Amino acid sequence: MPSGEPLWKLEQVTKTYLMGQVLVTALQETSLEIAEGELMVILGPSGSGKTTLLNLIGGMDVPTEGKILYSGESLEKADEKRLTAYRRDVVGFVFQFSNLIPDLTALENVALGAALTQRPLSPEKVLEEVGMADRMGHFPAQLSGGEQQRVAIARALVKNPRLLLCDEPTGSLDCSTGKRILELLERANRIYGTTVVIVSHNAAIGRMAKRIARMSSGRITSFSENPSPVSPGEIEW
Amino acid sequence: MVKSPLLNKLFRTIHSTRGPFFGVVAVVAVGLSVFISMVAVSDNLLRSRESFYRQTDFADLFFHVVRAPEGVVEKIAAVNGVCGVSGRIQKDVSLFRPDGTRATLRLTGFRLPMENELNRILVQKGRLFENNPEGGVLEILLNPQFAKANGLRPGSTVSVAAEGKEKPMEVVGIAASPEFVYAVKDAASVFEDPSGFGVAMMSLKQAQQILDFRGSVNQILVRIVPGTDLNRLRKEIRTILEPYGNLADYPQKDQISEAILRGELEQLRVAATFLPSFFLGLATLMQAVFLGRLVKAARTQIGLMKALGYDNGRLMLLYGGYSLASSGIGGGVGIVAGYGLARVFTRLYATYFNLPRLEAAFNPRSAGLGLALTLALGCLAGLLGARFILEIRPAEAMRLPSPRRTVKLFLEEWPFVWERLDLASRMSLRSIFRNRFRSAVTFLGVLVSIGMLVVSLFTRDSVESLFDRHFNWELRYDLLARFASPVKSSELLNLERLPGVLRVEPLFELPVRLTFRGRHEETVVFGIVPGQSFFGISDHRNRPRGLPVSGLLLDWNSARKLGARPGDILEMETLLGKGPSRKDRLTVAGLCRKSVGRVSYLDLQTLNSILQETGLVTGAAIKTGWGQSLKTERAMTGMINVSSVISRQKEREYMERNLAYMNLSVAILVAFSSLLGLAIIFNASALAFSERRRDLASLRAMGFSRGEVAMFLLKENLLLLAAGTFAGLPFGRLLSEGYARAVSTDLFSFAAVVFPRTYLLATAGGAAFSALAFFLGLRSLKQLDVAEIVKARD
Repeated sequence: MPSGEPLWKLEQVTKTYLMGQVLVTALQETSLEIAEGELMVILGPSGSGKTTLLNLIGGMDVPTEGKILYSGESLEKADEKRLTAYRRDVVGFVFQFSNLIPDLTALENVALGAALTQRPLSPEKVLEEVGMADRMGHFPAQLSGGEQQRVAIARALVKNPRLLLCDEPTGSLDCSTGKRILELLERANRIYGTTVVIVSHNAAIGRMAKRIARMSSGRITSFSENPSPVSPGEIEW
Repeated sequence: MVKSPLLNKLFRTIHSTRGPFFGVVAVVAVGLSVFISMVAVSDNLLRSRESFYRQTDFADLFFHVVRAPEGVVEKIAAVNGVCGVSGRIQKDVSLFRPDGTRATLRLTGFRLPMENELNRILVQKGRLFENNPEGGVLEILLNPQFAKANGLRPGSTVSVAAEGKEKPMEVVGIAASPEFVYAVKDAASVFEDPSGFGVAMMSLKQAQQILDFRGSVNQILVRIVPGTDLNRLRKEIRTILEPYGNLADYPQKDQISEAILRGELEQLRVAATFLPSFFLGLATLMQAVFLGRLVKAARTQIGLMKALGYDNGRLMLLYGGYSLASSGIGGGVGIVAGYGLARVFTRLYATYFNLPRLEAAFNPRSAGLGLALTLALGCLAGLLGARFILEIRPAEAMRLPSPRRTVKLFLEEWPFVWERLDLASRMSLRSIFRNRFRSAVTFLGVLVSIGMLVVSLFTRDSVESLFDRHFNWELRYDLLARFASPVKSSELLNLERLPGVLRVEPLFELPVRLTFRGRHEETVVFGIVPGQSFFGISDHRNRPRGLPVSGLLLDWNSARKLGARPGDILEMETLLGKGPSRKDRLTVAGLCRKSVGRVSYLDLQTLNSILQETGLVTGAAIKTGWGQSLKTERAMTGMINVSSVISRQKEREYMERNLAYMNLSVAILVAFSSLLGLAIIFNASALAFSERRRDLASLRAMGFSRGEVAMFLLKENLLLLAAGTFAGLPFGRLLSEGYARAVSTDLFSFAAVVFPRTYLLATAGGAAFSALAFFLGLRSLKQLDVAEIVKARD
């Protein structure tokens, strides 16, 4: 259990999809609490329901059953408009593939995120912080995979979100680039106090978090506490 | 049986992209249906015209004389190159209607038996007139339009004033004549109501009796041996007819009904080439662009198939098959729709043109040609679109694609402009310039559809302005009375005394032959009094002008044919048909132009002095009090020397009632142009959406609402739409000018008038396309699985 009062609370959440003519249960009666300012890693093999869980927390989807509370407010019955506002104001996403807009430069991609909120951070400053100060005018096609992912993190951070959800952020990167990306996420958690949830199939990443959830077949099978998280630079895989 | 997997894939690709696929099908179908219908209608008209002319032995040359003995026919028949001659009588008389108004009836005498005569008639109802003895019942056949408009049928009796005497005649049938396929009195009366002008066909002997022409004829019709020099023959026959008062002679192509029919065929020919080329050309480009995108999107699959061993040829065939399928289906639909349209148009033409056997027929030549053309264009689109297959290498295609390359635009060199643009506009501009070919096709498509909307609506503007000019400016009288023969202007006093008459102005309509540097032109000169107000005259640039103090104000079309300019001296020969023909030399004082018909103007006094007469007139333009013209017209019933009375209001009402054809073609054109615009926008939106799915999903994940994301998507199309719309307006104007020039004939001069209303409507069309693009984007966004896309690799 997190030390502070949980800001996100999932109670007995189930999510089923109709895929063609087959009903697939992606998540089963899952409960989870996330405290503000926490850095949490959710581990599990592919198909274990990690991304579904992340999408539900991030307001990209609504559960079939169960409750999702953010700051006491129910998200499971929120309409499209409310979910959009939630994503806009509360959540920042980082995906495995950077999903940058190819027709915008690095700076413009970040500015796009800044344009969404009332009190954004400075896009230039955030890009500087992710080490992209000298690549601001470059288009995604002119950046390496790691650089694209840094811009994607900057785009998520510039909104100054309360929650940063990262779905396999190192999945398409080599080890050393991946570590630098994880350092950025850890820094965001430490400096801005942003709550960070990282989803990965890579068990080594769990070492950077205080709390680790493990998933299998659509359920959280265990929670474990890590009293001494290590810096991402020390992780090897 | 197991179908080829590639064929299965083709069907599934078509199914999954059915929206844009059917967008292309629609454009191909429209293009081909316009082509098929216009060619079919034109073929139907041509075929029934040819068969009718052959069946009735339509003459090659027409000669009008004052009066010639019947024996002259043998003399002309002996001329080398002549293979058939008919002599006959033709004269306009007045028909009195039961309501007191009158109509003009063109009495035409035919020698019986008719088998060997030229311009024979075809009895459509009732029976042929009989060779009744002198004093017997006068039997006539009428043309169907006149009979219908006046409620006459076989068995009806009409009253006609011939040579100052009222004669009863019995209608025994309805008949078609090759020279009255479009029954019109003369070039100046093409708008005349068919109830006001009719053709009465009777036996030559009876016509000679009642018109006091015993043993004489006033028209000679000639058939020539094919390959004979028409001009030489014309000259030779003219010399033979010289002693009998040569009034006019013209070849078949200048015969008024034939000239109108030819004009119509020419319009169809223009429409059959002009419209389909836009549609089919754009359909080809749309197919090529869409196919290119399909190939790029299926890069990994194509790479995989190549890795499995499929060669470029088979893969090209697969994707080429996509465009061939849309062309084939579009072609099939186009052929069926084209024949449907052809039936509608042919039926409509049948109400204007009295061509027996005018019916819609299937024309395998145009169908085959059209289908071959669309399939060839489909192949071209297939090659253009699927050429990217050649660039795909299996190993590269399996790897994650690098983000799309974007280069900086020239606009970015000007920070004061660039920095003022919002991010969505920057994205759109870069995307437009990155996909130059695709953007060019969307821009071109919008430009053409807006341009075509302008042209479609312009035809209405042009006809409305032609009507307005003709009926409100060029003609300002209420009634035009024509006398059976020239009268002294003092006779007009009788008209002035009629009830309802406010003012009467004299008019002399003089048929003349103008000669300049060996060229001849037969036309009509209006003799009017300077300062007269019932005839609005404009110069060849449509600017108002007055009657010159001296000299001839020459019709612009006649001047063009003669090669004459202001200051040139012409020879004018009068062809009045009564009294001796006079010749004089006249200076061209200026040029004039009438929107309907061809008329030159001369001072009435000068005209009289050329005829060596004083104070003669052939008609009168009458202004009546408000709502009094019918009363005045009826009051003229007893005036035997008045041969016809034309009411301007009735002519106008008749023409406006008969704009069904134009309204139908405008409606069809507007529908087709809109369909083109919609298909272009639909496809452009579908392409933009499919290419930007990932971008849009990531914007949605970031927290942009559907409306905001749809606006992002719209901006790209909006810029192209706005540019296409604004360029489409002047393009439409240019097309209209070209179209007006192409369809203007000697008889109608269409001005390229585009009312502001038309521009507004076309712009509204552009706005509607934009709204559609927005809603299509919004609809697609609803179906976008954001979570799935942002997670997956491309």
